[in-house]
Amino acid sequence: MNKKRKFWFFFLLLTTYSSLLTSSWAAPNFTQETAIRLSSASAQTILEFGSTFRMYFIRDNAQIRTSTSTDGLNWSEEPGFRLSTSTILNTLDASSITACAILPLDTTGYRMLYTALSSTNSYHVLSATSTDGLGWAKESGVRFQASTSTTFIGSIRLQELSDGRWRMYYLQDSTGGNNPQNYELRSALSTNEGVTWSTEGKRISAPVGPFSAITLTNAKTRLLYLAPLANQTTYSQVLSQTSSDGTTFTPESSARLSTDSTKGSYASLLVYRSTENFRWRAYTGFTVNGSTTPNVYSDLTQTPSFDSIDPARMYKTQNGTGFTIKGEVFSSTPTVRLTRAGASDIAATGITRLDDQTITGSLTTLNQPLGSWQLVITNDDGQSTSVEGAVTIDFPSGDIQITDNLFKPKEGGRARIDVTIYNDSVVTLRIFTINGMPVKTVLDESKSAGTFSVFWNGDTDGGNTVASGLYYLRSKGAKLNRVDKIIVVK
Amino acid sequence: MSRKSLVALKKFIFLFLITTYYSLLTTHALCGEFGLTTAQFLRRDIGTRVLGLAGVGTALSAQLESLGYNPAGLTSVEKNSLMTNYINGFSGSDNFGVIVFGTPALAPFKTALGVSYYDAGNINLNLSNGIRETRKAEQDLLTMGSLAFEPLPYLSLGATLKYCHLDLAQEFKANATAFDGGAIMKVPLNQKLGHLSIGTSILNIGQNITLYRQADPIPTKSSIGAVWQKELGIHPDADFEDEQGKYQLLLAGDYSQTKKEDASYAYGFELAKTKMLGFLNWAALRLGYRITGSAASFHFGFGWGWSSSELNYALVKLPKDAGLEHHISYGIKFGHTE
Repeated sequence: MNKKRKFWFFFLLLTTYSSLLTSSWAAPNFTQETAIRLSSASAQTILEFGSTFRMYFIRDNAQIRTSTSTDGLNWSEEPGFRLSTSTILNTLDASSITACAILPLDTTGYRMLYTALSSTNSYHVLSATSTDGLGWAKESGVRFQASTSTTFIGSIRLQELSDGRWRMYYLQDSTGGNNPQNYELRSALSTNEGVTWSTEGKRISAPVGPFSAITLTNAKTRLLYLAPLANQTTYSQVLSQTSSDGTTFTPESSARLSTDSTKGSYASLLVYRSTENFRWRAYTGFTVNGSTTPNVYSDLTQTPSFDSIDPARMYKTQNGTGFTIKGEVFSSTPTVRLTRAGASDIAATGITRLDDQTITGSLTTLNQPLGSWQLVITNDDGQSTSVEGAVTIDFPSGDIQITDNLFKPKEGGRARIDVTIYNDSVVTLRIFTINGMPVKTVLDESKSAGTFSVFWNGDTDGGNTVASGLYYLRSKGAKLNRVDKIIVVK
Repeated sequence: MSRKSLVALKKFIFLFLITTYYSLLTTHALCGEFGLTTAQFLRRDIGTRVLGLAGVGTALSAQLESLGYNPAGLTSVEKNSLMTNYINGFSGSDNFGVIVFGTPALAPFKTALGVSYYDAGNINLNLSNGIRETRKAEQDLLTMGSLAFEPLPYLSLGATLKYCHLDLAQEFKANATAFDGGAIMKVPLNQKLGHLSIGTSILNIGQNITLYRQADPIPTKSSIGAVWQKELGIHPDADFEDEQGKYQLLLAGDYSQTKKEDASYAYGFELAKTKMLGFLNWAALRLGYRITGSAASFHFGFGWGWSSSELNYALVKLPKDAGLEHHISYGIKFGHTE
């Protein structure tokens, strides 16, 4: 293998390994719900007004309209429009509106940021304000644009940071034009509630389609975005990446949602918490092949998503083992139990949902059958996930304690060997010279689990006293395999 | 066989019988057990090649490795040579190392000097009188000086003087002197029958050692053995054979008796090929089996030689469930052949 081939071999090995490492989180997938939620619309953002949700959506790339719902499924369109290309005629008259996002102001009211394409093919992020979310007044000036105004800017999403600043994620053409194949996902920061923005940099490389940003209760950010399959240009899958700091994102394995590209493609994406608060609902704009009008459908993360349990190995000697399950889509008080054919279920106690991705509890595995067990997580509404072999009930490693590991047999000395095993087994204790030659079999018999003591008084199997020197005690038994030193002087 | 050779053979056989008689007299099994002699590190194998053959080195002219089995074999040292050997013991925390230098410079004698150490690592003392402390379990040092020569055709004699220092638990210490001696006779055979050597040796002849109050004997060991070697040509065309290398077969057997232990029988097999892969002078594969009473060990080894260097490895499956030991050695030859 020449040097070049070696380089590529190890490069591929390394990248494959690192991609396996970085994409290991089992993110929850969406399941499509029936019925069209909105017709001819592109869902952008949702505001909550008490128990009512108001969804802002774009129709015909010209109007921002709203619908309201109390369950997130049935939406009633409100009359009129909130903002339209016809209302923003000024120095930056817009021929189309492609995206919008809203942030609540500290004082009162809201600021809407929206991307507008002017009649001179310039892309700007403009803004408007409202006190009630219905009537909007345009603010003067441009909130944000690329270094050259003809560079595509679109699909903006906002996230409030813990220090009061706002981060805007947006799509930008990486080559300065407007080709969806070159859209990359970038971010910018604002310290004055969206009036001015400073760019941060690229977050996800092209090609990235319209996306949604969600914040988990453990402060992680997940970006879910439309993406084409290889060698395709239309969006037929929803991928995701997560970040702990909002700037460095790690891809999550497989797709959250996908569609048959021969039937149509995704056009927009909005992900929002469902009414029960622990699930996520995606509002996907979907355009059937042959049509130019997208309708909004909904998709829900249904069952709990399991990633890992720590510890995955529990012991039959433990009365209660605290555990942490990583995953998602956990209700406020899910049940966790271990099942195994021919054995009674073990129900976890003290279940606590720490955040969107973590639940903790305790499992009592005392004297339970050894082997692998199936883990079952069931949400309050009965939706459950089973993971075969997620937990193994085992017994701890045996232990040896030697008292008087330096003794004088001619003066009545002897070594006391305390053996602890946690499962019934044959226990063998043999003394060897430093060259590995057998001197004495101290013990070779079946023993029950527990602690017991044996003694070596420095004799050989034939009853003679060994010569002064160092000897090794090889211990073998149930999960017991070790070598200890004993010194004999006479 | 010439008259001179016959005389030499008769002398050797006489010497062989005398040595064997003395060996059995001094080391006959009183009770057939291990652990009844002290300074066990004197029994550490210093030769990785020979260890791959189950330690069958009594009749083998194994160059510097002969220092550990039969000093008469040092007559095979033809150039200045250096050998190092390292063993990670079966406990996982003990280490044994040796370095040996041999030279033919003092012709007709072949001489060798060696130093070996044994470090068993730490022991956490846990005594019923309340003492809890960490000490070095065992630290030993051995220096060796050997002389070998060929007083008669086909006959090699050798002797080694050893001086060792033992230290148990950094508290119980002793110094001791010991001697090794041996002879190897190359039995002339028809060339088609290969080469046969027989040998005898006595190792670790010395005084008892007292580490505390009572003296214990050191592991004196007497051995007799035989080695048969034959080159196996792979092609009838001699020139082509020389170009392609040759196979060399070695079969060896030892019978030995260590003081207070059962008799030990060991057998070794080596298949070597010269001119391997174009850049190796030789490569060898080894197998061995040793049985002492009911304690059997299995040995496996291989080695390569290139330029003036050689590297050998041996794996030993120790008796019963003691475990495995790994041995590795490196040797280099330099200077002119005497």
